[in-house]
Amino acid sequence: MSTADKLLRTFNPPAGGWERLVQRRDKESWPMPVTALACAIAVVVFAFPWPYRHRIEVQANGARLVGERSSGTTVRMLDGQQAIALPSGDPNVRLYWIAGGAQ
Amino acid sequence: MSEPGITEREWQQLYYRLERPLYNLAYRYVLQQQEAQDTVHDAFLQLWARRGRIRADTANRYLWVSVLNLSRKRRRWRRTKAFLSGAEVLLELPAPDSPESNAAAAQEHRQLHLAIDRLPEKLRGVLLLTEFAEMPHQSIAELLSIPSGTVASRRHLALKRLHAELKTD
Repeated sequence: MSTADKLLRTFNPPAGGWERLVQRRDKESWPMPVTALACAIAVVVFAFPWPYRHRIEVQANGARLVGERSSGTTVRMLDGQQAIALPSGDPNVRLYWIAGGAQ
Repeated sequence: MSEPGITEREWQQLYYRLERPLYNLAYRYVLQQQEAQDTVHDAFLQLWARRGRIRADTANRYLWVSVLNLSRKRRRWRRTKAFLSGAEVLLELPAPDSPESNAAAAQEHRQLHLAIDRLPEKLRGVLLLTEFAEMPHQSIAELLSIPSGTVASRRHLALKRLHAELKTD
């Protein structure tokens, strides 16, 4: 077909097309071993039995206990547990140290 | 017949040779410059991913068919989005490339693109491929899996419809 038959003008594509294409190719084609390694690390991190996990749970229970007491809820202490009042600068805030029991 | 396999150098050469015509085909479907370039890039990335299974002498055909299909998909998606949001489909015209370009020319250009957008897909595909692919009708017929005579008749019909539509506008 000759140019005289052309109906539509030909536009130039946005500049830097080749560079963008290569960038996309390199970004999208992560080698499989790298992806597999990243997955393996994630599994190890989340499945590992951290030694401090239990202590964090105990502290969370203690915080809930104080919160429920301050809102007027009746709180029952578990056998062998102790709540020791700690000094607080704010009269509206009461602090307790929870000890004993499962620890 | 050559063995399957495309080297990086062949891939790059194909890009430099076909970027402009493929972009122009995609642009007439998606009517957005960046989206048209993304469509061409998608086709080249597909070719790169399948480079071990495609022969260098058929890569040209592969790219034209890919860009045509990807452009059709994007066009459908664009129209669905516009329908759901109630917004009008926007036509993004490239900046004028000469100082004598004026508002009247831009308006004419816009009307032509919108008229092409309203053509039935069978006519639009043939018209745009004959405009930009720089292939004989026989090759376009092979790309679209239709007889060679149908390419000529569809192009003729498409031009007739465009002419009639632009005359009434």
